[in-house]
Amino acid sequence: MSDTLSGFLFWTEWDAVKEALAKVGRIRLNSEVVEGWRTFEYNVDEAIPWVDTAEGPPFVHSLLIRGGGDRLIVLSNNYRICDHFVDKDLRPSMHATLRKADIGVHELVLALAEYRKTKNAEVVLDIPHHAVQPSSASAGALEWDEFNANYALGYASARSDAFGRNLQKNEFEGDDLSMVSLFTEMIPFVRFRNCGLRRRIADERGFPSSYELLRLGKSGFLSFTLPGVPRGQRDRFREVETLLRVLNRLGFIK
Amino acid sequence: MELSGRQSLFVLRSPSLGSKHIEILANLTDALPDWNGRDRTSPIFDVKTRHSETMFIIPPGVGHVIFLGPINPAKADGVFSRLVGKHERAWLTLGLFNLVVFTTSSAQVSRILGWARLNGVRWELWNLKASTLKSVKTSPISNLRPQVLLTALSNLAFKAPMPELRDAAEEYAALFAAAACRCSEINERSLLEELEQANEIISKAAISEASQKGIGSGLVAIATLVDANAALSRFTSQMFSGFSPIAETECHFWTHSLLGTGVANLALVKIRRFITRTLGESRIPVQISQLALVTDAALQDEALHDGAIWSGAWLHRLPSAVGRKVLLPRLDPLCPLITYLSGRDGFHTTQSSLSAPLNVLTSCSNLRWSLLTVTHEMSHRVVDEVLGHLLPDTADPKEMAAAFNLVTEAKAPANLLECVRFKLLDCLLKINGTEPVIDEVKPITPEYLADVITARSEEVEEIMVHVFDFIYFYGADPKAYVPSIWRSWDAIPRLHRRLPGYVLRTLCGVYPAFWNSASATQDSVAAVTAGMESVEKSDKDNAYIRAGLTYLRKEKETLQQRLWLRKILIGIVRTFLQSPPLVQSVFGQSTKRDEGTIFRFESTPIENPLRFIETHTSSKFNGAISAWMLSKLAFDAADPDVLRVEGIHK
Repeated sequence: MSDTLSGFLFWTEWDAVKEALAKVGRIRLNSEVVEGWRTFEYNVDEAIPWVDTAEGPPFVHSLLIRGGGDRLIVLSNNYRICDHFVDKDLRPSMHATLRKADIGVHELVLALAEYRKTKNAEVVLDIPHHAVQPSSASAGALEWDEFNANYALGYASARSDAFGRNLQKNEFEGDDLSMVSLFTEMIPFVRFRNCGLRRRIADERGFPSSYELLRLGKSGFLSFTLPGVPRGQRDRFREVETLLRVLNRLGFIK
Repeated sequence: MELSGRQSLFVLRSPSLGSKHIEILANLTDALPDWNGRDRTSPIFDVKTRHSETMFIIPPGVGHVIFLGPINPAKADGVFSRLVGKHERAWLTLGLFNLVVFTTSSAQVSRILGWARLNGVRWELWNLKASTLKSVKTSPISNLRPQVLLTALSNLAFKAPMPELRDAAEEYAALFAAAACRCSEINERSLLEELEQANEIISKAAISEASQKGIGSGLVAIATLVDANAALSRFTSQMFSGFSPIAETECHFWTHSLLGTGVANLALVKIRRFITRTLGESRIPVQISQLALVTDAALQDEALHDGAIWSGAWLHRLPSAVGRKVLLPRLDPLCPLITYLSGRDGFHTTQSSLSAPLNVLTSCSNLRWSLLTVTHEMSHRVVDEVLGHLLPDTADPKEMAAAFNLVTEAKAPANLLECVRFKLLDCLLKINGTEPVIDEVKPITPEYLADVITARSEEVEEIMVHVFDFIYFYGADPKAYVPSIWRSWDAIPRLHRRLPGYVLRTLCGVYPAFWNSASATQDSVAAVTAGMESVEKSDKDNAYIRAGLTYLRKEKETLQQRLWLRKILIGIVRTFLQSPPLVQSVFGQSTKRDEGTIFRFESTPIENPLRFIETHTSSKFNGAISAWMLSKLAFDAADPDVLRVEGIHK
């Protein structure tokens, strides 16, 4: 398994998935990486388009699967392996809805930019922070404040249809894009498809810093990098799950 | 949930009063030999279940048909996944009861009805002995009443009513009441809110027209009400026929007489709602009227003398050109157009309605009957209103005198609106001078100017609509636009004599894509030729494409000159009606193409219904794909937020 994992978040019935996994003949349970995450060996005779493999057939891929309640996460070294597994093996064995989550990437980027704009205005106008929190009493607003304190927008990829075929795609990357006027000014001209969230931390000397925690795509796409040490890996899985739970609570995952 | 692609026909036979039986047939020709006046039918589309690959035959003994809906098919996966019995089947329909299940198991019936109750889904159960209908049960009818609307309708009164006005108003009130009550029954809250809003706007307009002094004011009010009545009666009958009790309602599209066309009507509502909330709310005509506030001399000079302002889209710069204030702070709500299907009206809009042809029920997956044609009708509404601001009212002497002074340069334009008006009138006069449809008068007179405006206004509107449609709904892409419009024109009868005009419109339509090219007219001709050739190759039965292409090739030089003469009409749309952020809100989506798999229902939201239609419309006819598209649009198309742009609305 490489250090970068990618795949998809699905809405489904976890019990139906477990039932289906037992029926899929081309996977074999390896172990449990951290609580709830299972690794599988996925053996296929066919080459999966656009996926590099050292030798084969048969081709052996690794899958990481985590589920519970009404959701399922399938990850691998390459998201195409997940797509292949779901379409060719899992879905035909399932008797329940299995759909990729609709992640409100555009709405999330807009909300992050709007939050920053409001906060910047507060600083310029020197208005006390609490005075301009119209719904600070609500748990949602508090959680959103906390979210913005913990995460920053570090990557955004968007399509544009505003200029015909002359401009079609934009990509931005940085520590905090919502602070960049060039970025915020182009928002009316695009729709965001993928974004990356950075976790704000203090570095070892106490300076504000951040690292990219998770990339999200509109069609349930997830991608993140695992640190080298096992303890760090376990923490990263937990951080990713925590972030997904918060995004779900805030209404960005449908 | 997934469709198999197979289509059948559900027939309810009523050979004698009180006796009914059902048949599932392959097609209408199998049903017609035994037809009688009471029989009713609707197409049904097989859902993939354990035994759906084998032909369905109604088994002897006890059987049950359960009608469910309206429900997103994806949300009924739990129902379909357990249909594993040999005689168990499920179908998708285009009625508000959009799912039909057959089972012989009473336990299965209890399970499905339990599921329906739990999820608030309306149902109707037919108990059968072999194919004979023995008894019917229905889900409880909602007690909800649209009280606000009913009260408003009961207060509808006209001063000094003419009998005809009273008749029209009574019909109007009864129709609205019926439509609203039925919306309440199926808990269509957003539709009900739109009906309330439509009533407020239409009744207010009719009351205002009726109270005007002068001859004929009552007739104007009657026309307003009659127009709304025609749309409402179709909307109500199409949307709600085929709903409980099924056997007691009848849809007047005879191939859908059993279950109606509610899903297709909902799909049309979704498309209309998307366009209204994006393009409609951008209020382009009102923005154009605000050009009168732009008095910057440099800008006016550029507009009059073909300067830099014509080099690209300019409308989005309007707020800063009139100063840093909100351009349109107070806006009256837009009338939610009442949508319906009509074989006679086809794609058509009026002040209160939007129609689509009946053919979309079976063929909306084909470019000839593409639902994207709705955009052309909506473009007409925008351009028509824009021209209301740009062209003088030929019946108003004061406006005509001002226009005459403007075009003869007796008075200099006072603002940017007048500059654009000057360019438009000057263009009309030049077109008529070169290609006269009325005898040219030199020096021009106010009467001649009025005659030219009257004679040319239809052509002007059509050309501007094509350019507008191209920019806002086709991504300014000739490759998508040319084949699409030529395939859709194949559905128009007797077009041959008007072909030259249609070729010219196509050329004008694509011209914005090449505006900045040194060989713009040649490039336009080349793009249109390529697009038409692709239709000629792939659509051998197309009635007009060969003649159109022959004309284009033969008259290339003349067409280039005619195109050049109309450049200002194209430029007005490209510059003053085009705003990239508005194009983005209408045409934009985050994915290149919609990724939904044909026949599959997953309840993944459709981000932009227009792009969904574009993606799944091709040159092939397929009734099952059309049904899938309509169902997806009805249940998965997200209603966008009402467009609010900084500087324009807030």
